Amino acid sequence: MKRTKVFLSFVMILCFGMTAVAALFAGDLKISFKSVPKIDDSFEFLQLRTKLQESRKPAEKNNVHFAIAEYYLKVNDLHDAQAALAQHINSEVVDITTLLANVYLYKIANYRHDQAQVDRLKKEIFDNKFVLLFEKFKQINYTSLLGNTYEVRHFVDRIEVFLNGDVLETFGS
Amino acid sequence: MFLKRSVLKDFFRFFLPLLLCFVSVYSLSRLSTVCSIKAADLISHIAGPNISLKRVFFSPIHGLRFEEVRVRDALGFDFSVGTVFLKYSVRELWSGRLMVKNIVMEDVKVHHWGDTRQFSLNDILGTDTKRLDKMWGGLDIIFTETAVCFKKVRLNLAQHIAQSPIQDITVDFCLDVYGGKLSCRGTAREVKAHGLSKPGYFAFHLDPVGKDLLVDMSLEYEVYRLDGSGMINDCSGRTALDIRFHSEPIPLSYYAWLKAVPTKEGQVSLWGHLTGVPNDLNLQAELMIPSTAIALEQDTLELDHVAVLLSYRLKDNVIDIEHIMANVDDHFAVSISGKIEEILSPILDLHCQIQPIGQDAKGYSWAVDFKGQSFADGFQGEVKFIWPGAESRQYLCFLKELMVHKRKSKMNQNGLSVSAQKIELVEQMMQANQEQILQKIFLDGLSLETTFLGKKIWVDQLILQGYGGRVSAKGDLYFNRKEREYNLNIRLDQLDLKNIKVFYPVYCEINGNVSGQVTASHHKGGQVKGVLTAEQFQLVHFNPLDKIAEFLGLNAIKEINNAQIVVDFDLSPQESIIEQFDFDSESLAMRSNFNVNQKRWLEGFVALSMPRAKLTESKIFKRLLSIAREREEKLDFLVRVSGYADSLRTELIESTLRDTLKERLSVRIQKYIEERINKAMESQGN
Repeated sequence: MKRTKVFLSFVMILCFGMTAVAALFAGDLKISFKSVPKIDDSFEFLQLRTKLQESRKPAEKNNVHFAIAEYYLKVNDLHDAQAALAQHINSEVVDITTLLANVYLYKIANYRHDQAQVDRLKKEIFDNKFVLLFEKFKQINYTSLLGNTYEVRHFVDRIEVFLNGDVLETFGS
Repeated sequence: MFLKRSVLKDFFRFFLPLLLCFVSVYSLSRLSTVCSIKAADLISHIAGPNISLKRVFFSPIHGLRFEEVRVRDALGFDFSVGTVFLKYSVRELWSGRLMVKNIVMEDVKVHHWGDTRQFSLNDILGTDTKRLDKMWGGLDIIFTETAVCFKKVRLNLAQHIAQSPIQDITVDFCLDVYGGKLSCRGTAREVKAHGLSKPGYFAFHLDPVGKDLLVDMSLEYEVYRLDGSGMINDCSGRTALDIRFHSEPIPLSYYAWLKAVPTKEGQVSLWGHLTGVPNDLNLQAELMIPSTAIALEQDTLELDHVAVLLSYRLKDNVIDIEHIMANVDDHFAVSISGKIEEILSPILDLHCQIQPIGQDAKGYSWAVDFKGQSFADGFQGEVKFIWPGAESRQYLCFLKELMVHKRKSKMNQNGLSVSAQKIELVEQMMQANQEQILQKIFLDGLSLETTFLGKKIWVDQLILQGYGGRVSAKGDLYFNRKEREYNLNIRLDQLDLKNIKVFYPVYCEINGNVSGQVTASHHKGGQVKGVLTAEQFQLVHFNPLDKIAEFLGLNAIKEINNAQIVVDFDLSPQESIIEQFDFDSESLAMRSNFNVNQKRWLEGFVALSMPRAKLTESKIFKRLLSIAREREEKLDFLVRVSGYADSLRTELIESTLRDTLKERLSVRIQKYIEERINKAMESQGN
């Protein structure tokens, strides 16, 4: 009887510990994405799905795809977010959202300690050749359908990504 | 009086009569022995021309003894026997039967093997022994409980069987008839074989079971002993052997042949499996040495988990090496496979793979392939080295028409002298198990003189001839257990290079007459350092320069001709530093330095000096020069290059032209120019 009690206590402590650790880690990533603005609209996802069906131009569709990925990130659904982002970067249109999708994928891989993916994505992010002649950096701005404003600064040796004015990620050598 | 009277009394009463009885029986047997040469002639005459004997001894107690018997059969089998003893049961004679108890043949010599060696084992064993029983002169001859023994049967197999690994053999064996079955036991003494300095000993026991034979055997050579058992299947038809044997763990210090390689400790266990038909036997042997250490002068070579799996095909005289595996010094796993033909003068076809383990494990391996003939003091043939490079690349080096000889240095140290007439270097890219050849380099000859002491190797002289010049090297290598060190000074003399591609650390293609000094060393992390100078040098597709050319919009500087070049570098797996990469040509003068890390991230500064006339070849620059009203004959730029080696970014750090333009152009136009240059760069890059 005593043994059973000890065993049950041990199982409870273990379960509680695992839950706490899982919650802690989940919180970590959520904190990193906290700057995604909360839009108080319960039908946001449905609206995006509708918009996707209505979109005819590839560039428009591209923006909707990225917004859907952003939505998954906002609700901390990393699995669907990763799938949506991977699908997004495989689309024909290559623009600023492709780079941003790679940035988010990089953050997910970093969170999962997938070093091979981290290295590969970092190389993808830096696969952007340019020349700085007069300025110290090249700047690109983008506002997503969910209202998030992104600012990407390409320096010769690093890239700085801002989300709604806060540093989202900095990449360097 | 030392003996008591009662003792003497007992002696006379019991022992003396017994002694008298023995003496009388012995005397009777000696006296009753009849020797007859006439009887021998008579028996020879009756037996026919195939059997002859010189003397016959008859004793009612000892039986019959024939001396100097010679037998020849129609197929050419010719043997002689010194003495044949035939013992029979005297009691059975009264019943009119000659029951043979023992037949002993001593000093049997086979003079000619003839064709009868292709006999079935059924001729000797596994037969119904009643078939042996005969009638002779009204007398039943019975072999029901007979032992037929052959002593000192001498066979010179080398004389009779071509390519026999066994030369001489002396066999003693007995055929026992008991309970209607015939069994055989015996020993083979003084087994002299190729490669064995001392004769060996072999004991066996054969017992028939139906058509099969159960075999027990024991093989002894010096201090080694192998015990085995198994079966010879279907003796009457297609005979096949299936015998397994093993040895007890033997201390390696027992092995006399290892004296040349003094083994400090360790023991070996051996398992074997003999299979096949008598004319095509296959011996598979497995050898295990859990741990051993070999003394090499002042060093020790430690071998762990040594496993050897070989199979020897007697008919073809070929050893197939399934694997020879060992962990060396806890740093490398060495594996050898292949085959050895013609054991006396071995023809080798071996593949050796070396993989770092433990702390050194990096997931790649080196390989060496040997093909050729080994002789007393060397090797002749060809060797292929394969070693891995960065980013899924590997290098192959073929040494053809290779000769390796042992040599002694002036200080009487052991060494090797290596020469090769043809050398081929191949750089390959491995992608999804597909090999893509990137480039091939052919050299004319190699000459290498080395000496070694323990694990230290001195490269006394290495000369590689090719491209109208030569590469020479001197240095030493030390494969210490704790650390592996090497230090090589390489000198390049007047190498007239043609279309050589350099893939690491930065891609480029070079042509020109190169000389210089390179030091390759490894001490706590490998590095290659050197200074190279070149005359009449052509540099093409140099990635950082290509980026600058794209930046300037000048294709002309993508190819640098007739340049003088100086390179000072320090390469290591962690970081490659090109401290100086300078060249001067008519179209461009460049001073630069770079470093590339493990992930191929490049950081560098490039100072360019270009004639104004050259810059005007670019439409954009022509316009910009006119806007800036630039009149200088030479324009200088300092550019920073950064990024992954295949997607570099460039920033103009210093330029008087840029500064003037900044003053004269609005920000909007500056941005427009930059955009145009980037678009031009993208289109050129694509």
